[in-house]
Amino acid sequence: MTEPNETPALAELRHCSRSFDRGRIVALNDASLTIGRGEYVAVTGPSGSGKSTLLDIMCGLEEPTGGEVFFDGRRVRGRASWARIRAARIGFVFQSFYLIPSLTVAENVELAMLWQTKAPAARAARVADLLDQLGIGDRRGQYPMQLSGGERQRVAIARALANRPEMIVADEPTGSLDTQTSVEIIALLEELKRTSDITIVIVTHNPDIAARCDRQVSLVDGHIVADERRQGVQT
Amino acid sequence: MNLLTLPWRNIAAQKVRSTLTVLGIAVAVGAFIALTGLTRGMQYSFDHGLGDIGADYVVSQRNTYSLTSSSVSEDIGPKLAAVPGVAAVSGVVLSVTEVDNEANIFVTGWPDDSFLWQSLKLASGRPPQGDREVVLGQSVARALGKGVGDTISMQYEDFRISGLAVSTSVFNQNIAVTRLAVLQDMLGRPSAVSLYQVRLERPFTPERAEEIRAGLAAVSPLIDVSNSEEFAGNMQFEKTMDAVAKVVSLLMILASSILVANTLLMSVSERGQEFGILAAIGWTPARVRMLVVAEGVMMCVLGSVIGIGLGVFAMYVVSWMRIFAGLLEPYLTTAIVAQAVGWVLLVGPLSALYPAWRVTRIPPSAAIRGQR
Repeated sequence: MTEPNETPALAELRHCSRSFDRGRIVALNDASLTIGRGEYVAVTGPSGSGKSTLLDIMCGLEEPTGGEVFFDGRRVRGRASWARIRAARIGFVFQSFYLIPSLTVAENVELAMLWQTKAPAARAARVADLLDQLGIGDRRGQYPMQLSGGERQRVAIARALANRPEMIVADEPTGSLDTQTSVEIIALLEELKRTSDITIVIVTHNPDIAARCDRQVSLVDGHIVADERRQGVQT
Repeated sequence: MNLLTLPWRNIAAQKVRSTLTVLGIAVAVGAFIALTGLTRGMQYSFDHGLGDIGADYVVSQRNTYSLTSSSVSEDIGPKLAAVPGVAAVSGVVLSVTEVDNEANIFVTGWPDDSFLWQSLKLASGRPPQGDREVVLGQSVARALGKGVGDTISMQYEDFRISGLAVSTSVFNQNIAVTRLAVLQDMLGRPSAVSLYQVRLERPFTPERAEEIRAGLAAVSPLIDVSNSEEFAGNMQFEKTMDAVAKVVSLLMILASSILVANTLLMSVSERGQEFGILAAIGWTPARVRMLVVAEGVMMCVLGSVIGIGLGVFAMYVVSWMRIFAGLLEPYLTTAIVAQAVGWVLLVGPLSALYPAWRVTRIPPSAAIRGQR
């Protein structure tokens, strides 16, 4: 369900909390955060600080136990509403890639477009473009198990971009990659950022990656303890 | 890639499990088709067999349990013959008997002056004349390896085969015909018949036939008058067989649906992360549930296709067994196949609903990270 809201932000959390085990574990505590269109934001913090929970709530993968979540100015509630928003407007990239092993590279990418009103030929063309753009065009018929970690993450990025989303949400996208591949993946995301008005939110432990972002949000024990913009960055 | 690619890959990924489930469904569909087909085949065989011998109405004991247990007094015969519009009446004794300690066949006795003998088409030999003579249907004679002049044993007594009869109905191809008095004596039913076959005066209109039928029914409150289409269906034995076949078939289909549910439950519990991924990339809970149901439907469709073949095969194997010679006739109609497949396609997806619901009960964030 969505409700009108005046904020121009793309994603917004208002006093969001998330607890587990009947309130004994508090993953996120009264967090408020606004992500503007076109921002490049790093969410940092130690393990268990609530970074992934914040991201999940921002995209509707998790319902908050308290507070409200808005996307593009509208309050969103319910799994079906969130699913429709994710399908068209949010792309995900995870640390563990989360590709479906029984599908080929091309099918994994196409899976995100299956419910869109696109003809099969148009879907195939989009998949081919994305895979070529990400340098894995020759891997289209292979299965995830046949790919390296970096290639799998490129497939995940292609899948995230399939429906031309307004926001990419990346949860530790380089966590399972070696240093060189990590640099390549981040460069790829930044290239995307340069060539489009896409909003990118990255959860990371890596201070080098966080330092490259326009804005850094830090969490400790479920609280947002810092929200800093890099000098010279206008919002 | 289309919406069926993923369910199909998931089925193919678990070959042994999916194959066993599909076979379970196939056995259920096959059993439905074989049981229903053979029961209906028996009815059809009786109907067609009785219609094949030139009678228009059958008069039997009211609410009789089976064709062979019907008993009508011979006193009724002249009263039936006296009903206006009736051309001829013939008492008939019917029984199932063991032949040469091998096969169970129908044996029937007709009076010497019965109009029924005119309908008996002989491929060779002649009608029975002596006390221990019988005409055998060609199919049963072939199954027993007998010909004209050979002897068969029925009810511990030897009968000489005087002729071989041909017929378009399976029932009559597999029957033994002897003289009424001989069979009455053999069965210890001297003054009763199983039923009366009634032939009407020609020509007659359907309305006239109904009037005559009412006249026949008025002869005694202890009789039922049916045409050949109704006759077998009116037998309590037939109704019982039909009910047993239906109940057993439906129970098997229900059991197969539990198999589908179990397979899907195992499958979805192993693939929780996959459903989390689908949710993350924007599949709504309804679409994810549809995916699980599609897997169930696919297994049901596959099982149904194999089951149709299995059912037809089983039906023919059973009907070819010597012990059922002439009693069971394969009978396959689109309606029987549609019923079997219809039940499976109704119950199968229903059984997939619970596993489908379980998949979407878990929040996507927990599913994707393998948490419950």
